[in-house]
Amino acid sequence: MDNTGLTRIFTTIGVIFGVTATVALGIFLTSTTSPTPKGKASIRWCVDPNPIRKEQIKLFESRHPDISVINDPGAEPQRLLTQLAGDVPPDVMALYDPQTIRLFAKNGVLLDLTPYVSKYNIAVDKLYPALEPYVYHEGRIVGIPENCGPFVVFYNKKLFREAGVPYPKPGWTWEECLDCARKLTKYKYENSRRIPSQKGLFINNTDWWLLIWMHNGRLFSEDGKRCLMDSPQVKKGIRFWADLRLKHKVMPTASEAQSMAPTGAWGSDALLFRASMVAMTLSGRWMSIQYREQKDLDWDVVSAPHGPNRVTLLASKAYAIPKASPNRAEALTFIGHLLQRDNQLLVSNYGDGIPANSDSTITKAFAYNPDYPNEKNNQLHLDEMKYARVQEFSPYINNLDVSAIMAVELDKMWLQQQSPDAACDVIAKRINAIIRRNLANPNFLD
Amino acid sequence: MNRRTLAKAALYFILSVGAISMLAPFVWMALTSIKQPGEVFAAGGGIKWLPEHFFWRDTIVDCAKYRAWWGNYPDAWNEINIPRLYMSSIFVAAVGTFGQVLTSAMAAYAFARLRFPGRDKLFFAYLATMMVPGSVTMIPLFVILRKMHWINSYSGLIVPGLFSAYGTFMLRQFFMGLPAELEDAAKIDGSGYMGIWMRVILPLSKPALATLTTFTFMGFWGSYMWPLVITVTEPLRTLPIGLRYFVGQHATNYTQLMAGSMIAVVPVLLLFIFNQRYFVEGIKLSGMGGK
Repeated sequence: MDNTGLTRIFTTIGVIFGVTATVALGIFLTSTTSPTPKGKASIRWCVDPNPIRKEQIKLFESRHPDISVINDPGAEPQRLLTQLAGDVPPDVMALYDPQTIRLFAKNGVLLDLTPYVSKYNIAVDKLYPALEPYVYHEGRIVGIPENCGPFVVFYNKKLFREAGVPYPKPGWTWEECLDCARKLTKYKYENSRRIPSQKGLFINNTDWWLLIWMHNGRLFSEDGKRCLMDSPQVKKGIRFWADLRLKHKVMPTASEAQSMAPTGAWGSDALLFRASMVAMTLSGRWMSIQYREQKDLDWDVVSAPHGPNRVTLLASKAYAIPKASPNRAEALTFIGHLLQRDNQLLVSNYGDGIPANSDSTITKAFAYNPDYPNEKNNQLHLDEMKYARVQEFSPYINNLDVSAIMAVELDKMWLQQQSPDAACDVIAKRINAIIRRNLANPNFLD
Repeated sequence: MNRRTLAKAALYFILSVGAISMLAPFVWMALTSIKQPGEVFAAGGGIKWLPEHFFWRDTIVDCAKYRAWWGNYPDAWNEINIPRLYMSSIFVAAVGTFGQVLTSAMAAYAFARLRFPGRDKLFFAYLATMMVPGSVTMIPLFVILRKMHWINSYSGLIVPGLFSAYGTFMLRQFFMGLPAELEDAAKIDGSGYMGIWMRVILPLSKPALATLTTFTFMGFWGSYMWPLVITVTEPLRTLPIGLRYFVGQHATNYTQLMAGSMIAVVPVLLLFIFNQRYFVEGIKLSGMGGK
């Protein structure tokens, strides 16, 4: 037999094998797609994946053997909207900001949890009052935050020791923080060029809220119909923020952050902090997950510095149940369980945000975790809740529009193409123009 | 050294830089997959490429460490049920690729060779669908599939991807370059359209078919948003969704993510190696070099 004949035989055998294998695989896969044992209800929990989710599910299922939970990874808005529009909603879904919660609630997507609070033992009365924007819409309970994080300063103790700077104490001021940051900023020379080798402080570009609040500034008026970015109070806060980077040079500029970054181009606060290139960062407790991982990193937390007002930023996420959820009772049981002691401690001990349930039996247990004896300051996160405030939004403009305008105009400020005051004026003008347009538009869907 | 040699050296230098920059992320992925979690990012600056306990940097190979380096693979394997995800991905990618290449080849033959009223207008209308972003059609498509009871099913995962304007366009360009005389000869021998397509057009189009197969397989294999939207239970999920489990809101398990990614790229690499001979030729002949 010649080569062509052999090739033909082998090709035929290959094709038959491929088709048979694919058909067999298809039969096997389609016959094993049912994940729920008979007699058990199954709920779909749509939330960002996280190693602790498996433990949470295990805990819940041990308490409620008749309900199984699927962690559906990723609560991306596009995915949620598609599934909600297609009437295939998750049973419990994570919503990450108060504006989205309001938008979903206003459009009738979310189940009003108010009538179910006592029946399903949902400890809403134990939630911190500062979390209200994540919980209520027009007096109805629509979301349940599981954990939260008031912004605090994470500081690198080793860098403080090396610079001979005493560790900061809770209740410190921005002046004291600036003084520390100056002492912790270092430079080196490369080819006779002076470049930063360490910066004192890093505040993310989106976390400026506390700087305007400390001067009694607000981004929006109470009714949300006017942007107040051009007010003297806000300008004062933004000027202070800009000075940290441009005048005092204690915060890395975007290009400095990039050039200092340990992995090429990811100059995020966490990476620079982990690489000991930034001595202090402002963030929430969830950063502990990353910082714990690095055994040689000696860190602690202290309250966010204060100005005339003592205030800090608060971040959380809320779990909501779509009205169309096919497993309402099970979803309510699950939501109630999320605020129970064991689950609250499981999540917070993992290093994520602090428990949203302020019950003293939970907070006492959270304050000291024997598995992480170096983390002695958990109580500080709890104490900071007194000063914590959720970021503002206006019902008359999409946060994405606000962020886009902010990013463009603040970039010009960082590039020194416009002063902080001018940036505030332009931002207010542009945001107010959109608010006016939306208010005048009868079809505006807020 | 004459000018030609210099030009060649410059060309090789540029190509080498290109090749290295393309390979660098793969190398980092491979090396990170054998690091321990604390070794992913360097303390003190600079890109950290090598694991701290790499065998040729230590004079004695430490078996305990050795297990720890490779431990990311079994950990990733167990963490996200890779065997099931793998089978799902292979099934979806294999059936989807076969179907898309088949429909594209049929449509391309019709658009390239058959004469019927409105052919070119229809072709351009079909091409125009490439201009509509997938995110725009996602909700209507989802609603249609729900009405067909195809949510959370392999049909829902595969069928919407079976038809491709890009594949049709690519094959049409290739088919148009084939000599018409071969077709005429087949017609004289009594072949119909189907016979010509199967016995003349397809055997002559192996490079283009191999190229489209590779591109389509890669598309199905790496698809993220559609499988995420259309599947709601674990058994139907594909590998990219599984890898998402390593990326949390506040932290990413880079070592296991990279180990999982290393496992995930194997079929695509194999397909590319098998198709390489035809693939390069196909890119050249179908004019898709600038894709």
